[in-house]
Amino acid sequence: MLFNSYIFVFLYLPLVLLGYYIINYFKQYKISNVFLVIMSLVFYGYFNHSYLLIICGSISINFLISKILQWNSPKVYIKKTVLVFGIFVNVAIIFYFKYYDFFLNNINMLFGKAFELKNNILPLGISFFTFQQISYLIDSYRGETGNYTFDEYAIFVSFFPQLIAGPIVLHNEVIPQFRSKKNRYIIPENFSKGMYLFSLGMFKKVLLADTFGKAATYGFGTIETLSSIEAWIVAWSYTFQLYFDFSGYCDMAIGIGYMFNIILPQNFNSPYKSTSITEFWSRWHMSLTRFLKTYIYIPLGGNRKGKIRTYINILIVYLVSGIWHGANWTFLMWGGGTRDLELLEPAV
Amino acid sequence: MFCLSTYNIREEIYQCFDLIEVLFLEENIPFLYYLMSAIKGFNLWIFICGAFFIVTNFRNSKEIEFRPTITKALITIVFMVWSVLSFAEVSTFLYFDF
Repeated sequence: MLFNSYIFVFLYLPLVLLGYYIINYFKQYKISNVFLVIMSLVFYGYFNHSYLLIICGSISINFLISKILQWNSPKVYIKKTVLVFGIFVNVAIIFYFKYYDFFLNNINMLFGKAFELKNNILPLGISFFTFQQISYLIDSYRGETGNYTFDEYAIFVSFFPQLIAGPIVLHNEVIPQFRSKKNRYIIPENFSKGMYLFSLGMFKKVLLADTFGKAATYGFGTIETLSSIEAWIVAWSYTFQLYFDFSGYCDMAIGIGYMFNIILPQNFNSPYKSTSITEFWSRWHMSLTRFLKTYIYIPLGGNRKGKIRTYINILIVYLVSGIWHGANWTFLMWGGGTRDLELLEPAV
Repeated sequence: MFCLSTYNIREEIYQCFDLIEVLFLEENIPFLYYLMSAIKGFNLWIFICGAFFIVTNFRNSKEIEFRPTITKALITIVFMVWSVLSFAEVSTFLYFDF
């Protein structure tokens, strides 16, 4: 279900808000959690109901693994093994759906083989909810998670405003807000702010991004015949389409969060105002940058192990960011190229 | 692309920016009508210049200190109604592909 569709605006969203606040009015907080999880799964399954199996399976397995990680086992290697297994399961799921064909294609090309491709359809939001759950497993291993119930964990992963395209939230940002009783009732100021942000985001998406999108699509379709000035217009159009599309989505997601009194983290901070590549990445898709920094860059040693290791760590982070965006060499080159630009920055 | 060797812009690209609502305003406001007739592809340049201005000057929505006011309510209604009326042509979000 799209945020910018009649069914979402006129049926789904009013129904979920109404149901959620009515159940909470009767102080049935547990039931309201379950209601929200079910409705979030309806939102997700509306695209393709076979995806439901993947997300439900992923939530259940990860919750189970996190519970094992939370046990106070005196043997560190057991916990470490479980964590590695948990991360492996998540990476394997995302690998199968997103990278399997890319991997086989390269094997076929490199060794002249003819392995049959799977042509898997990429389940929506898999990159987002997988990263979110990996972060949860690592935090469980570190002993930084609370004793959450299954419904709380399921809400943290599946809460529909952030399920399909982020922001990648952390458990300690969302679950305590759901636990707070005062958040269970309508707060008019939050609700009006949510409505305002939602309509602002929808305007950016529908009127601005989609208008630029028409020019970009036309331009990419006729790229060989474009004149110089047309090529510039198409390039600008795609630049603005990408900006308003993502900015609009983030505003809508954060706006819906406010309607439920849940404040989602900022994900987009006027990135085209940046004066450097480093600043740009601290403003664009901020929750992904935070994930990469906290769960990859710092555990690899960050900048604490000498210059060469720092460069390698930065390269790894950008390559992961590149391949996360898509299974193609172009994305990897884009990741590597961005790293090079960042390294060149001090010299410029 | 960089040497700007050819300058022609085809009609199809201009038409991408001809929103019905904007055309309606331009046809009914004489000043806008004059500009539209005088400048070829007026809407295209307005969109590009306007977008450039927005992305480099406007405050981020999180930076806006929100207080419910009549103006904000009106903006919400106008944006919502305008967007809903344009739903027929919408596409999915680019980040859904990631």
